[in-house]
Amino acid sequence: MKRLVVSSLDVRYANRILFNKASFKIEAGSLSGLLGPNGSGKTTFFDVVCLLKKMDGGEIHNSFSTLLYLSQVVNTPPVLRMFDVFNMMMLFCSDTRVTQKHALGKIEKWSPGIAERYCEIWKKKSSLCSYGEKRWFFTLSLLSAHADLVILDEPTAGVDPEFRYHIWKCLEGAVAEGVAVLVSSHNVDEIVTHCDDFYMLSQQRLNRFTGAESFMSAYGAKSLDEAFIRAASHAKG
Amino acid sequence: MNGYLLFKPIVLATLFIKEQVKEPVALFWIVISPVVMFYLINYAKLPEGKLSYKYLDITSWFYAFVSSSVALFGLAFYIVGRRESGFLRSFVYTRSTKVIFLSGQFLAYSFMSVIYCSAFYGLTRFYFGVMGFSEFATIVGRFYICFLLFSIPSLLLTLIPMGFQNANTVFSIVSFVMLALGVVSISSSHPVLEVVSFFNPMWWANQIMLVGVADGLLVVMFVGVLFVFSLWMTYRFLLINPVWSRY
Repeated sequence: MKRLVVSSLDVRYANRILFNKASFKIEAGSLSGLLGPNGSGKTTFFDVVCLLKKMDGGEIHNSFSTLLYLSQVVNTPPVLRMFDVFNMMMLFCSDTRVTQKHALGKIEKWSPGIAERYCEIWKKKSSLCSYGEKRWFFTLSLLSAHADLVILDEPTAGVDPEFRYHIWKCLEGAVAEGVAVLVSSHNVDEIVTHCDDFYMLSQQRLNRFTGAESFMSAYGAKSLDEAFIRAASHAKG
Repeated sequence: MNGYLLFKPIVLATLFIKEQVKEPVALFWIVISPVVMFYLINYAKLPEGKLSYKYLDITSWFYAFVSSSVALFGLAFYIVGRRESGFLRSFVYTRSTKVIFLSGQFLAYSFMSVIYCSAFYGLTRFYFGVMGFSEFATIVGRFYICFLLFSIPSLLLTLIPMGFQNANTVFSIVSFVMLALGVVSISSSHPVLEVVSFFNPMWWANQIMLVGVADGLLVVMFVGVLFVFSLWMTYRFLLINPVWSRY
């Protein structure tokens, strides 16, 4: 089975240690979440996995053939329409041609009833799309590309509940087809609800959990948010 | 490698050209400003009889300047812009995507350079008499070599971690200094200026426009080698993260 395994990861910026002997694993057909307070190193972790940043120690074994990464910052040429942006994106994201028909087929299968909204955005000028619409459009389009590992950095940030619902439906649909998806978020509820497992970035380690109960009991908390806050305060301490 | 992979830079270049054409102000300015300047200078300086001068003797500096503008404010400035907007970080971070991006960008501005040259020719040549296709083809060929020449420093400038505004200022300073030194060298034979001219791409571009490719073959070959080197350097050290970001 294809998998990404990170072992004993060490990463530091100047004299600040972000990761100290951190470990992580994701397999094909699974949806993993990544939680952590602002500035704790979630994006840095993604950058390391995508070879955008060098690690100071540790090992990465990646047997996936195609990795796609949607970072937090996604700006599109404002004068182009979204179908041009889609075509531009696919030139970088897929070795084979991905058409609107292909993307629509997948998206409609994963989250029925969404195709019409997707087509509306497809025709819109990029500068007229809201931030949420762009993130939604990018996330779904990226999932329809031929990748076996997709990394999404806060795909639901700034997205309204309807689009957020469709994003999670599509993530789960892609995972059911064998894609491995790693997603970060500040919304603990959605990570716990939708992910097969999730990692909490605390004390420069990635602590793995498989459900709400184990997460709350690990930090002696009565709610998910309380558990996150306690883990985060450990991270800062 | 399948055909689609080879086709990608061309499709990308088409999209970049489409984007450029949809921003007509910059397009208009790079074409029109040298043409207006050309007519203003000729109106002020040239007596009627000087129209018998060879076309390229009068316009070579203008062609050199236009080609520098395409390389600096087209090819290079858009690389900085795409980095600072987060576009590169989002999609261009592997070896293959860097190749696709840089090839697409280069193809797009190669095409745009020919368009700019053609527009300048069309808007100024009739002032000197009848246009000719062979003359036009010769000028486009020389202009393209000048574009490659200016692409060398322009591409290397993109490797300096500067934000959008700073890049704009630095590019404007470079453009102004090259032009100013070039103009000063016309009417002075001071030894210091001769040395400075030797290192001024604008002076060399003017020479290429005047002398041509066949008579300046050594220079053209040197430009070709340095261009390939600068393109490789840009590929190797391309900055992905926006300067404003903390990464």
